[in-house]
Amino acid sequence: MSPALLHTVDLDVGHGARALVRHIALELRPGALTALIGVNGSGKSTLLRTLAGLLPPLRGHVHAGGHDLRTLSAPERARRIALVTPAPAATGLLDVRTLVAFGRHPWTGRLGRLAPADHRAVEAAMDMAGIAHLARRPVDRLSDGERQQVVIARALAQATPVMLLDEPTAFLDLVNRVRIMRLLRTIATGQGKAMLLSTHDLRTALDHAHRLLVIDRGHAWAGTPGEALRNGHLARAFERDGLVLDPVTGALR
Amino acid sequence: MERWTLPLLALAGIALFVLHLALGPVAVPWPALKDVLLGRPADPGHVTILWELRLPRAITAAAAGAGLAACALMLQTLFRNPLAGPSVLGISSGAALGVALLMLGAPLLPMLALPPQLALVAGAFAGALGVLLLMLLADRRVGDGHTLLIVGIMLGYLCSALISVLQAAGPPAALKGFVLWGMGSYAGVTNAQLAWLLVPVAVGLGMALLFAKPLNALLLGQEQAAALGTNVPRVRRTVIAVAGLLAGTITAFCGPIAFLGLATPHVVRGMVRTADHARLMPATILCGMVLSLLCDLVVRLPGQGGSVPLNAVTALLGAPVVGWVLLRGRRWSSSA
Repeated sequence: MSPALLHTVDLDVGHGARALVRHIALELRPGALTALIGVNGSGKSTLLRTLAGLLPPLRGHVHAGGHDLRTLSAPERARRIALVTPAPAATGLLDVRTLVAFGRHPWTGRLGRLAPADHRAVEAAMDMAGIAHLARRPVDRLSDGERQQVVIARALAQATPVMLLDEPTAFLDLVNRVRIMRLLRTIATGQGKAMLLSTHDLRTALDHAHRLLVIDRGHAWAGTPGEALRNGHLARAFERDGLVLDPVTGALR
Repeated sequence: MERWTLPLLALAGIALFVLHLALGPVAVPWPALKDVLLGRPADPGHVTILWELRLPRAITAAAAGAGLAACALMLQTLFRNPLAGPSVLGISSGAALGVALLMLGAPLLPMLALPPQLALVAGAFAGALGVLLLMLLADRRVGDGHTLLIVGIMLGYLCSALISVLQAAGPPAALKGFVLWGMGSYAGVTNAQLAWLLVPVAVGLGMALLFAKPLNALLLGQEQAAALGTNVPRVRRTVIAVAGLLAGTITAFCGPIAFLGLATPHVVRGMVRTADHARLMPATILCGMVLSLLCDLVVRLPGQGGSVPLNAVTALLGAPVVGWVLLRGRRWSSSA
């Protein structure tokens, strides 16, 4: 198996002194899509931000490409790890190409001028995300699904081995949820990226992810979707208030 | 349209600048104007009017407009709020408070050891920076743009109230000067003072142009900016300092000028149709010059008894822009 592009050693994450998830041993390998699953408030977003280097670990280490994250400068980190969050942006007036080009920030100089290689990376990212035909469209004239593709293209333009996405399918209808998950899986396998995304959508996660990272009451468990269903990790994480998880379909009843 | 924005704005700026020199109670015909500017022998009356009065005033108007507009654009991006601007966030009021402390309470201050011009700039800068830092603290607590705006307006009122107290206690001779200063004017800057205005404004404008990349990153929100490798705390500190320098210096010399800064970036967004600071910032600086010269030209309209205060003209221009922004605010906040 190829070495992990990002891995953690005995990692505790949380805010201030309070740990939300403890003793995380995670490995993200090239070409694998991992879905981060857990109930609201379990620490999914906190984990993603810690893995991206935006929050300090409470304990333990995050390694990306052989470097401890804390030894890397902010631009060096941003060349290895892309993070996509659902925060609203004041980008309505930007056209798609300009916004995708912001993904080149870690690679460009002080003034942000794009070299020919940067332009090629932007075009390739738009192609891969399927939005090349929207390049000149203002961002606020896009549908929700297209907008999500633009954000994914921006992360692709960042050209990082590791991609972290916080709720990339939130606010999308069923068709777009499946489309985006398929796109992300294709990117992970086709580009050999290590991808970790959080989601509330158990069904699409089970269908598309190569691996699951289940957070349950402060502990993280990693394995394949099949294992998670069989050994009851998913059931323990989600069976609350009399709800029962069907071990075959993954539906919650 | 978009490609021609910069050349058109530059052309309009030059035309207005020349008009500014030629028009006035004493009209200076074009050949005489050329002679004076090129240093050729000319009517000494024209020489005095142009070199001592109109040239410094036109340069002040251009510099102030450019600086206030660049300042407002940086604040709008920093606070992610389309209605941010030096006059709205209470920053001009803070600068005014700094100036009032110096002009009205001067005997109390040890700053008099400095040359008076520098003391004035330093006082306004300190006042502007003080309000900006308070706004930054408030920003961390409230997070919501509209609440923040109200905090800024309240801070502005607070500064105005403190200024009133100073006015009541201050010496009557200084009071008249302060009240006139408060109406806003580009007329008070002499050639000798001009450098004190131009150097800080040039530094501020240079920084604003160099900061296009981190300002673009801030459009995505602080978290995404950090994920793209931006040193967000340092960028925020620098933007605050530059905004304080621009607003403080300009307010010190020209008085608190309402709406001009806030309105200009919106006019420019309408023209260049982008939020990309690499294109927005140069156009905003030029457009600020143009609108400022235009406003001052209205102030100086010949053939009337008393002139309209600058602040009234800028409000006449700026207030409708603010209303327009509020009515079609959707584009600004739409997410991606």
